Amino acid sequence: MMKRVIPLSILAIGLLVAYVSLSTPEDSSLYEMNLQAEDDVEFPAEVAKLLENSCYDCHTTASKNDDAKDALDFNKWNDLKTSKKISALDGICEVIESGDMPPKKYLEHYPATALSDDQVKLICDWVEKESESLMQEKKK
Amino acid sequence: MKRVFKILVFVLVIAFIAIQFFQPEKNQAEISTSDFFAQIHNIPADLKETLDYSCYDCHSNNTRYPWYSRIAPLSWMISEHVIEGKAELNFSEWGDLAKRKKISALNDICEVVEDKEMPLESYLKMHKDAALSDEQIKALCIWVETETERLINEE
Repeated sequence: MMKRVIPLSILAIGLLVAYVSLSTPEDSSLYEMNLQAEDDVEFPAEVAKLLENSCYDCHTTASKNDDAKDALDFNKWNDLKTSKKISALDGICEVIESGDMPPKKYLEHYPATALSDDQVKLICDWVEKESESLMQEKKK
Repeated sequence: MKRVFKILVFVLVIAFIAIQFFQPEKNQAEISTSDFFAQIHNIPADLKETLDYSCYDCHSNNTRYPWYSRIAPLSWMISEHVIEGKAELNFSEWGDLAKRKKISALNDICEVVEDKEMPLESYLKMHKDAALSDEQIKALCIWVETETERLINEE
């Protein structure tokens, strides 16, 4: 009797473990670090790429930088009301135009996140268009 | 030692008098042009007062200069504040701002006042009546909210 019980128990435990680990949904946020955007935020592809590359490390919910998140959290973009979105957009263009963002210390570690003049212009042009469209939208 | 000390004091006094001859330009102009903030927006009377006491000295084309503000180097520090303040936000030239900039500025006004970043602490030291009470801050932010909504919805 004992000769069977032990291997059967091991098998049972093995099956149980397999079942549990296969049925638990995978937490993809563990793998994607801070680069995952909110699924339904619709930034134009070029802009989204730049923002992801240069901003999301600090300005998303998963970031450990509380000051950055308080200032702007892209994962919460859709929660912002229109006037706050317009204000945030204006702020985004302002800080990258002035060179305040990304911060110098951050750029020292990650020089590839620096924004070129053309990239700044691209974002600022988008800011203007997006603000206009947000103001138009409200009137519908 | 006594002699060196005397010379030093003498030099400092001369320097102090000398710098009084190098004064920054005064920031004074007609404040109530058509671009002026209070002329463009409908502002309740107590908010008008708040703006006047707590904001316009640095954020408009018209600064009030009490006697001590004309003494160098204090006058230079004040001038710096005014230049920087106007660059950031100038209520006298509010009309020049695009609508989205107005909305953004209104939002920022509420934010800096709520965070107690504004008025500047150094300004408050000399202007105790410029400090905003919690009620004033709340009233300002509520007004900002209605005003931004109105701006967004208007034609």
